[in-house]
Amino acid sequence: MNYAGMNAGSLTFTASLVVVALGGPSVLDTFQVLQLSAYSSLALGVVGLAFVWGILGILSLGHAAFFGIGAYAYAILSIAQGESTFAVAAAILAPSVLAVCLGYFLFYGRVGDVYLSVITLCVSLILFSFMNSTADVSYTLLSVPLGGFNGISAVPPLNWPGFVGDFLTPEATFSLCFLLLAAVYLALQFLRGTRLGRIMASVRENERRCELLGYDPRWLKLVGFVISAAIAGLAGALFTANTGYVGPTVFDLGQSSQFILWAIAGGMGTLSGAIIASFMLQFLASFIGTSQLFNTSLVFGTVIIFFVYALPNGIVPSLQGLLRKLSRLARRQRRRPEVIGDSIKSTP
Amino acid sequence: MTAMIETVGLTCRFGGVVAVDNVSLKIEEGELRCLIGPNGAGKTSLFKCLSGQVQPSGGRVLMKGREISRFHPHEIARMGMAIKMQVPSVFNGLSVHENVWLAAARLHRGKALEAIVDETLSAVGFRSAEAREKRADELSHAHRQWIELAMLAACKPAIALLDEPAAGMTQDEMLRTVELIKTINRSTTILVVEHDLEFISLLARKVTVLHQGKIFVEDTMSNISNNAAVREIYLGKQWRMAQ
Amino acid sequence: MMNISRRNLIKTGAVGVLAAGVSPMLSATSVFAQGETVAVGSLHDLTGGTDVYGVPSHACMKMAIAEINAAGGLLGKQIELKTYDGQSDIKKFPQYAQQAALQDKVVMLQGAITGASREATRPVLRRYKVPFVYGTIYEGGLCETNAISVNTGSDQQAIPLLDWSFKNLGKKVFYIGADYNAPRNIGIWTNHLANQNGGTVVGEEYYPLDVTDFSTAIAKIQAAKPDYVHSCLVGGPHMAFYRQWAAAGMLKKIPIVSVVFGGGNEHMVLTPEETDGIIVAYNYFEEIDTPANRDFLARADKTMGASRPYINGIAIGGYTGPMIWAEAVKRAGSFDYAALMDALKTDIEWAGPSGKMVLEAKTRSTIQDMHIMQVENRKWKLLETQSQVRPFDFGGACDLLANPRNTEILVPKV
Repeated sequence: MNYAGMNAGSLTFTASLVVVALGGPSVLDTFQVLQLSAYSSLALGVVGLAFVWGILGILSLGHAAFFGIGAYAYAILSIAQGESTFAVAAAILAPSVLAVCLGYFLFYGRVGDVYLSVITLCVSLILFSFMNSTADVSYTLLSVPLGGFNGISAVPPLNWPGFVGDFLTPEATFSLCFLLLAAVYLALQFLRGTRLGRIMASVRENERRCELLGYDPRWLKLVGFVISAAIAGLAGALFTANTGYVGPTVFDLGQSSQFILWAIAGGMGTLSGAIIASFMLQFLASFIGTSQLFNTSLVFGTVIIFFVYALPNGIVPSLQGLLRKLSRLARRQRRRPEVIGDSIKSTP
Repeated sequence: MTAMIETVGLTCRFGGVVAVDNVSLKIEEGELRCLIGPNGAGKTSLFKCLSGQVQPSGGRVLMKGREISRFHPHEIARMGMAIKMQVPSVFNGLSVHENVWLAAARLHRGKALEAIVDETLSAVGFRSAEAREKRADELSHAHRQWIELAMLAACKPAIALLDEPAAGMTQDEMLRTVELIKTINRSTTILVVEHDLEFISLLARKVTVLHQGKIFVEDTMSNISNNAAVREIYLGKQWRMAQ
Repeated sequence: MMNISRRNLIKTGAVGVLAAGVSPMLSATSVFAQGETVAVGSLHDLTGGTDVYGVPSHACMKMAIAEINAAGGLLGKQIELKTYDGQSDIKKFPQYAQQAALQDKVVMLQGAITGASREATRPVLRRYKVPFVYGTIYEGGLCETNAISVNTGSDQQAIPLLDWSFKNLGKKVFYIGADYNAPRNIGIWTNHLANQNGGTVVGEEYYPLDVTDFSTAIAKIQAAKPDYVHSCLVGGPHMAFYRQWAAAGMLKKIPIVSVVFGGGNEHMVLTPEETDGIIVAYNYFEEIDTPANRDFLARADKTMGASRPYINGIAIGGYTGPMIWAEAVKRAGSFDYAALMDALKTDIEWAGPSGKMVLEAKTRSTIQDMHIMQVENRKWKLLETQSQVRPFDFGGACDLLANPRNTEILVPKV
């Protein structure tokens, strides 16, 4: 059932993330903890995109803009204040505000799908160019130099709310990142099952029909767009807290296309798929970057082609399809003739 | 008494083409009106103007006495207008149940909502859970038409616009559709566009003929079918064959 | 009982969930302080947009490690080179730095050529106490005990080049640069050196890295009538400037000097008609005619093969980095971090293909010869050598012996 947000699968997936969050630190070494924390924050970024694209049908090619603004907001505020709580809040709020403004013009101005994708991409690239040109020492925000191409370095990690300098251990950060990922996943999955979520899905299926039923697709899209931007901002903040660095490349084409690749690989319309794909492809990128057996770009190109040709539906839907086929095969013996519109004689 | 829907000098241009030309039409509450006319007469454009999908180039549209010419489609829908499009417009990737649920969910909640969905689906013959879980794009053309009618009925509209509701149907299916429309008409004003004259004669009391964007004539079906001019512009060959 | 079994269940579950992803890593073991090898990391862009700088530097680094190993290793241990491909993706740098430090336990990491990747990598290596060797030319101002710069800051290039230019070309300079950190920094140097030499900066323009149309820039330069142009245009798109400059017939009229031209082997990509006469300053170029350099190039031909890249002033750092670090390790007598940091409190001297190099204790940057040279038919012609150019200490601001806790990049002020 495509509208059942909370089902056995999504609950199991949430539970797995929680298990990793709580059990991970006791079985992983420090490096793995750090690496997975960074991966999980990028996974969080792609969930927002998978939601807005897979559920609402809005392809935002500039998802990195929101991720990047969150990343910069966290870096600047955590350095300026020496405290990360407000920085995280601002990292969620700032991209949301941009999403409200941008979304208002895009959706209420009835900009077409293709133009919407291009405009969001442009916004991201404008931010990329702008941040690149802030190398001069006179570019500061809250007396933190923006740093241009070199970015902002030595960004402090998360601290316990209200306790300046009392930083979370890598293990605690790891647990927090995975719990947040689980919480956001569960919340979005829950939203999909609600009345609002189901109506949002109808916007993707047929926007005209949706508005002829009396729903305002502009408003629904705006809400979804802002939700995805807020999640991307949080992801940006966590990523920066994990790696201690932010630079203009968070806004570049590579960052946006990475999110899109993960969403495609995971499968349109599934949130868990995007998360799983993001982890798998990050591990792959990291692995081939150290193995030196193949050219990294070559491997990635092959992977993209593989997903487009062999698994056009993405990882999770393909697996689900396989399972369905198997179960159908098993049921074939006791199958009754299919009846549709049973009181009406069907068209011969 | 104010009319359910009224147009005053309604004009709709696309570039140089005048699709709807100074049309003044009045549909009273509870009426079941048929709109006929040859291809390109402006029927579909008129529907798009009425439902807010296209902004009129001139003239006014009034619904229950209130001007709606510049309203958005969702605002007009909220005032109680529902429309079945010429090409079935349903949520292809969603289940039959979900389609009707979405139509009813704007006005209803909880148990009442599920009851309406169940009742409406049963009325168009989707009784089994299996039939209701089918995706809309897996259905035949006729079934998709019924789903769209069901969605329309589930909205409990004040007025329904039906654009070729029996297109591509077999005789049985067409008769069934006539029954459905009559049922809907018990509580809803209906304006229907059709080509199938048998269908029209089964349904309509009053028929409006549209030609080149203008109202050509407005009369009862029997008078229309005897009107030589109408025959000339529209019915022509098809009419003689039906005779 | 209940509690214990539940906790086990959680652990097993976590392992199960993670197994797919992390299993390749669980097998990795620490190599430091056990066995016959120590690990050293190379973190360069080997693919993607900036691989033009990363690939030759990495190749030179491999050659250096091979030579150290062939000569019996370092302190009796063979060096294992761990390679991480930064993939021209800044996000990879801190992650690989963590992997190098925590998992592969490298005793030194070299690379992170672009300013952004350096800034992303540096704090990680500092936190995990892994010495960072920085092998490229850069904007200057790196002043941190953990960062060893074996190439030159822009000060070491700009001071000799612009002093020479004000003396030989004229007093009026027009500065044109890419709009990011290093060119901005070099712009400050240009102004500073103009003041010192009684010259004037008649124009200063910055262009984003993707600009390819320089007609306005050329018109502005023509209007300003400088004696020479100081260019800090960087990367593929900016090469268009040199084409358009030559096409406008300016190459023969107003000389161009640069501290970055040639870093991407622009003098070989462009035609001689577009580049002949451009003047640069580097610590190394293949045409240096000394026995040490001829020998180095012969060995490079042998280890890297005939199709090896041209070794320019950026790539050479890949070779000198491990060599100077090895000298320091020998001085320390141990791979231990504290011992190495102690050893670096005195100057380390080493003679390489470009002559004597001294890693200065105070700045942890390198004193070396600078060569002013000119393009002539896709080759470099030496104009003048300034011997043993010291890294700028920012008026005493960079003194790691007195202030070992500094990590900030120092920026020149006019």
